[in-house]
Amino acid sequence: MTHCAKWEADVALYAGGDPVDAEVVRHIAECAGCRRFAEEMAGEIERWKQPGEISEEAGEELRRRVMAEIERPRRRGYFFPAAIAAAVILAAALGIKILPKRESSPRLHTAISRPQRGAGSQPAASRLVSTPARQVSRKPGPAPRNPNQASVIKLLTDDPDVVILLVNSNGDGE
Amino acid sequence: MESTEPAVASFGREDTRKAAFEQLMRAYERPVLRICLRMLRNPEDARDAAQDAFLKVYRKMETLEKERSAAPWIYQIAVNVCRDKLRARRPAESLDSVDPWSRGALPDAAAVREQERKMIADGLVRLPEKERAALVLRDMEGLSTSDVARILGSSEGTVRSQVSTARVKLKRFAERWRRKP
Repeated sequence: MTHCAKWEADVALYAGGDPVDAEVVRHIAECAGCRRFAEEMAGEIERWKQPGEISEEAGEELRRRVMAEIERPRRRGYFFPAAIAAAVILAAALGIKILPKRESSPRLHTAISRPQRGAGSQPAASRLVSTPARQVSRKPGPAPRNPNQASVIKLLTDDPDVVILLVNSNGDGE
Repeated sequence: MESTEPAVASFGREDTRKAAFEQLMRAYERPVLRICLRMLRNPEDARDAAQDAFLKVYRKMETLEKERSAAPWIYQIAVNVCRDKLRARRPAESLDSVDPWSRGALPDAAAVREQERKMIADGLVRLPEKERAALVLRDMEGLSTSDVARILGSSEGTVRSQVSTARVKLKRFAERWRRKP
């Protein structure tokens, strides 16, 4: 005895206790195949409703795990550095200028200095003379360059806060 | 639907918040585990999904309005976690391509019940994800069609259709399973 395919979906709803049209109820009453299908379906659904196999202990174990996870201190320190690095890389990739644009490119000044003989303990950098970059001036003096003495190159820009020092110590410890 | 709704108080203090959350967990840990197990079949996956779901519940507790029933909200989070995990898996096997018939001898009633349970789990996991969720929530957890619709973000008509289709498929699967020697 087979049921009517046309009514199958409605009979399945009826068997599970879902509301259906009166027409469906009437058909089930008249059709033995659909009536049997509905009874079998109701039996299946009852079996599906049997309580699951979750034990009380399983629930407690889950709760312990979740509460332990909540109590655990959060890991910090990874997000912001990573986000900043990603932003910088992205900005570089897109060619975005992060620093404010200057009206003109900085004018570079260069000075080269060597410690003078008998200059005492005065630091070499403090004796530097700044000149425009195209005119590299050297301190007047007959002394030839001593390879054992330290030399310092100071690069100056228009921005007083930006000074670049290049130091060549030549390994003599001075 | 759960009849015992734990009070979800204001969560101003952290210890109050944790206490309220633990109360929620006690009420819903087993239904959520059951839903996850029926959605995912694998007990380990189910436990991980339930844990993820409750951690989300904890983080989002402030969004749970006092007057709103907690059950559909928690089940919705659990179902969504399961659906995410299912999407990360390979596609489910078809109900028609089952090799259900690896069952052994059935020595006693307990073994029969166990085999039936396994059969239902096998059948469920072969249903499309939305039909499975609808059937689990409607027939196995006993939620109303409107609650299931809310949880799944569907209309009641869609849920009725999914539940009906899933019932027919699972019934056929069970019949084939029982006919096998």
